[in-house]
Amino acid sequence: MRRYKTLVGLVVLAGLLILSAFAILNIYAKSSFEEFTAESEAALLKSLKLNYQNLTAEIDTKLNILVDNPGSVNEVIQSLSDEIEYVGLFDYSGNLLRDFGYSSPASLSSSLFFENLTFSSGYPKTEMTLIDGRAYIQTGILMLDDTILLVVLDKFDGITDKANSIYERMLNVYFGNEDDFASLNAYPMLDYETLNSLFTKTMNSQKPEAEEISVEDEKATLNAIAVYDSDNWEVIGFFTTITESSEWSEESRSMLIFLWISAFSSSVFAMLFLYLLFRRSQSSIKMKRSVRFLLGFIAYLPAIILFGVFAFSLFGDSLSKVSSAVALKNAKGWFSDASSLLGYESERSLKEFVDRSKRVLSASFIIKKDDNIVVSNLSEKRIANLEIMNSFNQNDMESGKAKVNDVVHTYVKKNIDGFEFTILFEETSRENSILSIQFFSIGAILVLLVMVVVSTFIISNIESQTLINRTLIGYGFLLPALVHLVWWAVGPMGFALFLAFRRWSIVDAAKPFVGFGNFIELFSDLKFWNAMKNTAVYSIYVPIGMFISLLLAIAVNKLGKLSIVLRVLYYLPVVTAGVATTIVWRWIFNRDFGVLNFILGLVGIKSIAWLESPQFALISMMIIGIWSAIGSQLLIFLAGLQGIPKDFYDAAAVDGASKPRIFWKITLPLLKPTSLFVLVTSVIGSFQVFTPIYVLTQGGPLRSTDVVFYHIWQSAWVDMRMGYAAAQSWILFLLLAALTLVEFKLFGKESWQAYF
Amino acid sequence: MRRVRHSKAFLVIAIILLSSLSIGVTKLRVTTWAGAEEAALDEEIIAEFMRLNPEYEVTYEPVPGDYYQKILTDIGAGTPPDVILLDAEMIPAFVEGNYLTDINPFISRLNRDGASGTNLAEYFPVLVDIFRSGRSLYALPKDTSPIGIFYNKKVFDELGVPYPPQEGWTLEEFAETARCLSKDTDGDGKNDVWGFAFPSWVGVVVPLLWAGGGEVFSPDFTQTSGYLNSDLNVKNYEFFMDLLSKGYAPSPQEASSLGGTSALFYTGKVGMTITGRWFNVSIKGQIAKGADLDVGAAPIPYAAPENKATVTYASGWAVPANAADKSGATMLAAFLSSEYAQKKRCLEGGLAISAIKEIAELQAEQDELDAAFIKMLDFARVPVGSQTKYYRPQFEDTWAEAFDRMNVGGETVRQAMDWAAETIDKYIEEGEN
Repeated sequence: MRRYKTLVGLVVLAGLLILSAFAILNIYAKSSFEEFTAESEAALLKSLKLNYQNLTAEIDTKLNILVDNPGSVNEVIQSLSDEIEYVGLFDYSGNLLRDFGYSSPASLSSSLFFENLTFSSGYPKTEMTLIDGRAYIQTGILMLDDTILLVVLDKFDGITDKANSIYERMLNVYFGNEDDFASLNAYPMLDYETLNSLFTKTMNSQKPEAEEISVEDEKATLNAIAVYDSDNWEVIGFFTTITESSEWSEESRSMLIFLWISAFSSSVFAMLFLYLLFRRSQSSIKMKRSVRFLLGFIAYLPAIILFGVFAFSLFGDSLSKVSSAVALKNAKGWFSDASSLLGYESERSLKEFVDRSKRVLSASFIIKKDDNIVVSNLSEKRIANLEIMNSFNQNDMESGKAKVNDVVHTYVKKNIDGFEFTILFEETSRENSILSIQFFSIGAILVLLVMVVVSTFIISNIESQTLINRTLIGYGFLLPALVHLVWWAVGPMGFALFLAFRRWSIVDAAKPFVGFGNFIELFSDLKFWNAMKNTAVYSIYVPIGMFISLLLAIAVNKLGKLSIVLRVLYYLPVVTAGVATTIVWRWIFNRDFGVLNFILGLVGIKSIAWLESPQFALISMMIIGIWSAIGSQLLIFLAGLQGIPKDFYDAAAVDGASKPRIFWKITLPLLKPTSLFVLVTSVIGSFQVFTPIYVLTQGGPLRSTDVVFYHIWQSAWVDMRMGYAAAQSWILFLLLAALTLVEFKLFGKESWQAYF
Repeated sequence: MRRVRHSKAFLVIAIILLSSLSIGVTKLRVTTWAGAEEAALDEEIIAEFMRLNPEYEVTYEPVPGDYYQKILTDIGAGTPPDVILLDAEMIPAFVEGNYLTDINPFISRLNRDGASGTNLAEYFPVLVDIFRSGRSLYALPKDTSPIGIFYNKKVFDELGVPYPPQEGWTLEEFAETARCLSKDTDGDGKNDVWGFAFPSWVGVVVPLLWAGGGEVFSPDFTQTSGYLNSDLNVKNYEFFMDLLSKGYAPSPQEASSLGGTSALFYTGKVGMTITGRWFNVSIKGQIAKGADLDVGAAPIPYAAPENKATVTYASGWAVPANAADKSGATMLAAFLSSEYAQKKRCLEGGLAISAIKEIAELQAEQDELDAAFIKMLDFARVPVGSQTKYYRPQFEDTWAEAFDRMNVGGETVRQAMDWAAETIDKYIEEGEN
């Protein structure tokens, strides 16, 4: 009966574990997906803002003629005449001088705009404005004779139209600041508080923000972005759009349905299969261990596979759909601006266009003509190394995924008037969402693999309840140490291995996979190998130090009571703060007043610049190394010496062996296991030297003390290249492992077997 | 009686509960590298800010060691402080990484509302320029320190050497002064009193090269070859190396083994030292400890009057891009640069030259040395490091190594500077690919 209880417990545990893992994944994936769609929606608003800024720039360009040619007012007005609502020429204090035949609207633009013009440096300024409940673009310029030309253009509809036709969104504009605003379109009616808090939020973050609202009892998202005046100084309004929540819900729903079906089917499968395994193992007791393990594995296989499929394929595909759709819309908006730019200006202002686009969209842009780069915000080298991963044609555009400097981008390309326009959107946020889901899945899969072991163990030992209990209790006691080990040692090491294959900076959101890039760079990085060489030379201090420690240990061992005092004295460097003692060494090594040079001076040796000359700096570090290692080495040797049975010595003495002979034939061989331990730990320690280098020389002079640990630290924390530093650490680890193996071989089997 | 006691107890509890709720209080964190002395002043300034703006609760988090690693990790982890102190040299890299908020729009609104420290016209223009990039502003200047020459008046008086002129002097005049100040007192054939401490630190070398008529970067900051290693610069630095070989300055090894240039300066072993205004803090400290010191300040020497130049170093209060309440953070940043803060830090604390013109003038009245440094702001340039991310750490490290090459590696100035220019250009090329 009891074994059925245990079985039921196991089966239920397996089922619940799989279900809850999928449930967490579900919540995690859903929130990631929603966050991602919100971010993508925000990108649309940025594009709209760019459209607006391109429009004002276009009008600025048209008025620019007046900067050099104030006489050509009439021609400028002529060129704009199609959209002119009002034109006026004013004097400095705001009196109308000429009206060019247009009658002034009831309420003209804000006085602030006029004031800004009077204080301007004579270049045109353009921005949107609200006059009599309608949106216009107003532009003006301070002319050489201190008159001010003010033009109101009925051109804003272009922006609204673009929102409708390209982005398929209805644009609502609010004029004013976050506390005091007037709406252009009243639909849908939104209360002041909602708008005020959203506007404050977007003002504060300086990026698009969203708020949940309900429109006609349907849930929807309101997005907003702030628009600034022509000086980029005061906020003059907000662009808002509303996204129905149904937009991406289809995609999200099918993703979640997949997860739920997987959760139930795989947990039921696991439970059934475990039961079958139990039945099977009952009937054939002589089942091989490996077969049993394999069958246990099969029980969890569907769950593992489904986790993998979701994290490594499905989730990414869903996000991809969103990002490509949004990228395509954004690209269309940009292309339409590009083609209108080419309509009124030649390539001269393409650079400004790209700069502006970069500022607003934070994407990358390439404009080519006849395969020559006309302008781009990417360097030529980056463009040359651009790697297209996949591409497909859509109408007159080409789009797909490409890698720029290893970072995945979605690119869209179009030919306009003989120019080839390419826009590249970084996919970092998508890649990182996927990565975090993958991390979670790998964690879940590892837990399931542990479950495989646990399940097969329980099922095959179900007859002996005590064994199961004892094993579980045993592992229960091990658990704290195990958690600690996994969290602080195995986990970080695994993560370092993961990092080693990526370009990973703490602060750069893009953490692209670079394959063996870091390792390849490492092998041609002379500075790293110089650091390796320095470290190797440095580690020579270990045998020297060991020899000294051993002699001292033998001496101390002979001293009886006094040895306690000496042991403390020799051990002091180990327990004293490294930085403090290192600073004392700085004085010892002082060229003119240092103790060391003074003593050397007594025997007629000329002053040595211990820390300042490339020849001696590393030797100085080795001296510090010996001094600080003696304490612990001596203590271990002492323990080793005391562990040698006195009988050997007595026997040797009786046989008439000389003292050196006893040392060579008895002490040294019997100390072999101790020596091996000291050597291995000291060599590893010598490869990890950091403090004296950091405090005294910072790797100098001329990189003579740049040791590998210091070099790794610099790569990680000064250059912020965690990936490269991780690669170096792994190389160091492998080298140390190889070195330790050699040491074990050198000392022979009997030395290390003493420890088992 | 009992009832009264009860109601009192209730009142106390109610007050405690209410205050612990602290309704509507926004929390802000500010991080600096301040040591104990500066931190005390900062805390006073922050207390004043909270007094004036009770809707904010500010936590002060000084990080004296590994400062940038700490804040970058914070920013990377998405838990940035709301206001951070940044060296001008860190601005380009931070801006490129999109770690900083363009505080321009917030400043304009806060200025309209009359928030202190938001009127940019109050500051020295060169200091605002340090933190500007195009139309964006990324920090407000905390204070500043130009590079100039400190001279020990006593040493000059003893030897009857005229003081360096306040309005500037030529390299030849500098060399002559250094020669007159150097002597061999113990007759071992080597000078043991020197004219000046040798300028090897990059932060001093760059303004010296400027004043010699050279540049270190191309105008668009894309290369150093032909600039850093131009004939003019090589000749200029050879000039200083020549003074070193003549024994007018202690070699860097000598200086460090004798306790460092500051100690040499205090004890009258070197007559002049080229460094930043911050040295005045140490000088005052020495005088306060009873040292018999009388110090003057003068501009660094130039090749010709039209080359007159120096640099002014500054740090500023910035707002990380992922700070939650940017408007509040900008207000705090501005307050940390405001007149109140500058008075505390510069006028009372004497830590640096105030970034606000008016307060700097008050400082000039108080302190003759400060007066000399404030005058230098008229021709001080913005630091190279505030213009290109390749200054820190690449340019700085490369120069340090180049100097080692000249100093202990036996290379000529020409060889070392060629190597440095080539190395930095390689960094730029790698960084831009």
